[in-house]
Amino acid sequence: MKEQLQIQNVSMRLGSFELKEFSLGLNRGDYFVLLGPSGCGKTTLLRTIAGVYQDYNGCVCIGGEDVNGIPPERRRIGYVSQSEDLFPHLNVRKNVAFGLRYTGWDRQEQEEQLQRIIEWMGISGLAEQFPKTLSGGESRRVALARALVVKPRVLLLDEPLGMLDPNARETMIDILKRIHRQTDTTTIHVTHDREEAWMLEGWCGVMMNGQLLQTGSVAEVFRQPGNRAVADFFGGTNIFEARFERRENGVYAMTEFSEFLVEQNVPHTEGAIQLRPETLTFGNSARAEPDRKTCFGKVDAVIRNVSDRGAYLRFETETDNQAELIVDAGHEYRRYAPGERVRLFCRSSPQPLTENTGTEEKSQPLKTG
Amino acid sequence: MENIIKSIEEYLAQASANIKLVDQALTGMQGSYVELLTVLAIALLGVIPVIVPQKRRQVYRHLTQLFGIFIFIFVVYTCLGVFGMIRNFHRGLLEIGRENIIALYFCSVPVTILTVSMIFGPMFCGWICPTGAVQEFSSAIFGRWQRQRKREGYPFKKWMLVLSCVVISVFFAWVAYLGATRVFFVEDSSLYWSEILIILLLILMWRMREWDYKLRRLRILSFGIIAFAAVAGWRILSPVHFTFNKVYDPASMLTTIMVALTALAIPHIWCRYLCPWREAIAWAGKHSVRKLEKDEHSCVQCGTCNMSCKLDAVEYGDIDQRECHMCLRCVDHCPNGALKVVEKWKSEE
Amino acid sequence: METASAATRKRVFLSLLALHLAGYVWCGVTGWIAPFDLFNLILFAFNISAAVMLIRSRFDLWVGAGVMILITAHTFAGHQLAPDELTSGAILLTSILVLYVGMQINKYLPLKYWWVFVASFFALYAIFIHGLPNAEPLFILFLMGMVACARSLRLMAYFWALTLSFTVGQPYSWEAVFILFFILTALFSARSFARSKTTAIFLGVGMAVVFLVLLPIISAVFNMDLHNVGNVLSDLRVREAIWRTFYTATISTFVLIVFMIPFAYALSRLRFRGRTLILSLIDLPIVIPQSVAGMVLLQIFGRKQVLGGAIEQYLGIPVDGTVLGICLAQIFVALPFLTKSAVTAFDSVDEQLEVSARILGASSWSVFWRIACPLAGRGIFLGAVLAWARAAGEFGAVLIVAPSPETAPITAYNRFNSVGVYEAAPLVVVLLLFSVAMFFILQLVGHMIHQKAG
Repeated sequence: MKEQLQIQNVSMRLGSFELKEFSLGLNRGDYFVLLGPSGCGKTTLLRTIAGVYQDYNGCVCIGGEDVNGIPPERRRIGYVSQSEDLFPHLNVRKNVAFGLRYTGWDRQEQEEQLQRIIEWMGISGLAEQFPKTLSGGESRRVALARALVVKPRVLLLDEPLGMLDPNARETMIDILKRIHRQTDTTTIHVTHDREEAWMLEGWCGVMMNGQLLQTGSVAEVFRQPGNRAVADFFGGTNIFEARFERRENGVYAMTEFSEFLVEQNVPHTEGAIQLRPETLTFGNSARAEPDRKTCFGKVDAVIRNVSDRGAYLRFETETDNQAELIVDAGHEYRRYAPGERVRLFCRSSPQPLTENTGTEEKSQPLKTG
Repeated sequence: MENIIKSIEEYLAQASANIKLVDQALTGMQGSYVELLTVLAIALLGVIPVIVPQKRRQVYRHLTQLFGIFIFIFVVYTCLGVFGMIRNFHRGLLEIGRENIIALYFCSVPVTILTVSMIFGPMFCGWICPTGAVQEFSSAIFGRWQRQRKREGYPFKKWMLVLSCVVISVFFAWVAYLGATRVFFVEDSSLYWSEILIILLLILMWRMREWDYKLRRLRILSFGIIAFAAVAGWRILSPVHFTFNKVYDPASMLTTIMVALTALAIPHIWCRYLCPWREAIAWAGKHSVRKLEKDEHSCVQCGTCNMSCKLDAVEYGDIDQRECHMCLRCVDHCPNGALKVVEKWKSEE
Repeated sequence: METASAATRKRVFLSLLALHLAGYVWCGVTGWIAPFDLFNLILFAFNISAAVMLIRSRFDLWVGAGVMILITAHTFAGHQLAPDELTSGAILLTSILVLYVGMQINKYLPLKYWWVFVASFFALYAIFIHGLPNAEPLFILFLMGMVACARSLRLMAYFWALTLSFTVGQPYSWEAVFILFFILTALFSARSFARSKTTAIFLGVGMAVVFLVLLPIISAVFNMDLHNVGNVLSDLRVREAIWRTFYTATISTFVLIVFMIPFAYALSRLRFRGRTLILSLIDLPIVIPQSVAGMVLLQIFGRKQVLGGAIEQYLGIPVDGTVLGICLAQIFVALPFLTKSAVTAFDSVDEQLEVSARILGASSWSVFWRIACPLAGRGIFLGAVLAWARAAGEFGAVLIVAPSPETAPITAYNRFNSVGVYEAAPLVVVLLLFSVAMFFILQLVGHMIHQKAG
């Protein structure tokens, strides 16, 4: 299977940023969202692909050819950096047209492509302006146009929605989706914002400390984080150390305050589980033992604090062993007040996690298609 | 009793010896009092618009103008017209500390004019200036036609061109006559100004509406030229200068006549487009205490003031302070009393 | 006070008039004043008309009373001190003006203005009555000016700048006016967006020092006699020297641009061992005294030396005493200015822009030519201007390497040596004009480059 972008075991070190045996494969037309906290090496990865950093170990292949040693200008890659880097001495039209003269196309073709891209991006009204006078969203669009105009083999976007106001973000996301539909360019979209991953609906991967920890659809990664670090990154609450035991009706996770039924197959015995706050409900303590279909575990707790989060209420509760559990419940639970003793039920299977950050667990090259 | 008086007398004598306020008469050159008289006259004339009764104000104004012509043309030999005043001001300033009497002699008239303009408003132009008066009186001849032309928005008609050509031919005939009978000097440079006046006349006859306000910036240029000439030491004589000079100066006289003739067609043409002092007084008037102001509540936008103003400085009650001569004609014509002279001591800093 | 009734007004003004009359009669009887003197009678009539007008008008009571008291007092005291009637009239008029404006300022403006007014009055008194001899008439004149400016502190500042320039600042009065007005205008316009007093003071003091340093040049420009300039320019030797200066400096700058700008780019982009050493070595021509530089050059490139001899042999012209030598000396002294400016200019270009351009497909030469050079263009241009000016103004090194085909500075020096400083003045003015004009033209072009890049 010939892949458009293939990264194999790339390791490099650049100051405090590093890539550790990084591997990733993307097919033609993939839209891959790379999530990770600041300083995890995302920008380093993009620049390595773009060819700015040449001294790495491993292999980067674009369109099946190993690009090691090929200077950036001959890689045909589109790169939109965080700070856009528009050329301040050229107007918008000339900025966008900058890469065209190096493509080797004839003049007519260049002109047509330029017009097409400017129209797509909705920047024809800005063509004669200088970058200094553009707003944040406008200069992002110009930078994107400038990268796309040369029909790149791979498009690398470094935080393309960062520092934009909500409206500009919406517009930009629409543009990104539309452009991807129209050009079918292999794209890596790097961000630290979980919301963006949800809005883009593509494949996503979570990167930490120079490693790709998990890949999958956004929902998968969010609902079933593979290990504790990923869960933490996605707003990890209610994570508890657990021991896993296989019984006749399934696998049970034993925490220090209760035991929970786990649906997934768990290969290891030590680890952790996450109880997502929205999967917990509660009722009065005098409730009958629920069956497996509706309840995966229960625990008694005391409500410590209630806060209104708009769409839901957030209850902070405490079990008898001083373990703190967060419960998100609908507004019909408003009658429960702090100090009240309740019984918590787990309505869906808790997510088992590997305890550590996953250093020994090699992430597999992602196969999509 | 006598002792007390004597002691007071002695004290006063002693004080007067000590104060030494002015121990020498403020005589000018050759013991003449002319410039001092001018200062006094201008200052007193400056007060007249303030104290004159509102009834028949314009009559008093014309009387003052006549008096101004009298003072400037028949009494003052120092000011040398609008251009010479700037040159002499420069010379006078340089004499400070060396020949103070000469400094006074040269500076008194400009300083008085500027001071009066900064306190009582730019009324020198409208009430005293002899050049302005000459133009106003000459333009009064065709007053009705001028008003009609303004009402119609300055249309161009062929016979206006004929009129302009008559004026121009007067000019050229005279220049030809002068050129045949005498040699021109740099001092006759006021001819250049009358040439510009003629060009202006042609432009304005043709397209008054478009060019009127743009051409008024020429005054800045005019001021710059005269100021530069003053510093560089060139002598450029102004119109009406001939009356101050005992020598025969037909060029200046011709320019004066051209000013009066062109003013037949366009009122205050000299003040509007060329007078360098108008620029200085406009600046002083910007900082003036007394200003004309519109009362927004009583103004009904009738446009009477537009027609009353000979300088097109007021439009539906909104006054252009740079162009206003403070003749107060608009105030007198306003049917609702919406235009008022106000005193504003607080400056907008 | 403002709403004093008509009866009160009548009472006050009439009693003041009565006071005048009583004093007039009394002094007439005692012989202190001449009772039938025309001027005294006019003053009295003046006061009567003032009283009549004041009673009928709505003029401020206190100002009106003040004016009447002033006229009365002038009859008995001021007029007696004055040498003649017209002078006395001028004094009276000015006093009324000062009184009127002073009272209005006290009434309508903050106290600050009043104190400035009073202080200015006494300062003028000190300058014109005590400071300058026979300047009493000017006291009256300047008092009028002060009164006209008193209602605005800004105008007052300009007034004082003018007054001090023309009294204390003689014979450099116009220069002083120019400098002070420039500083004041800068300060007043800066105040609106920078509210910090400290920076305003720094600005003012700094500009004062700068202008003091530039005073000789400003003074020369102000005292320029255009008539002599023509005479000097008609001298063939001078014209040739100016033309030679122009083209040698241009050639030197061009040579520097061709070789030093790529070098500066390399210095800015690369980090290598010895870089700091090279950067400091570039500055060496600045610290070496110019005459020493000339001698050092002569020791290498003189026609008797190895290198100089070789050049003469292969190029056919010797270095010393020719245009080649002039250019060499100029390049030597101008080198640091262009190189340093170019390095700084390239340093200020964001390297990320170059990276972006590379990824877009531009080769490293394209990046230098299409990104780095335009963005550093202004800095490079200013450096070139400095280098050009330095080359054109070079005296010491050129004098030693090539004294015979004269450049402009050497012509001035020779003229000074042969005829002295006063006779050389017109030439100095011409050279000054030439340099200043070139400098302003180049600055203007630099400004336009910047606007285009902006």
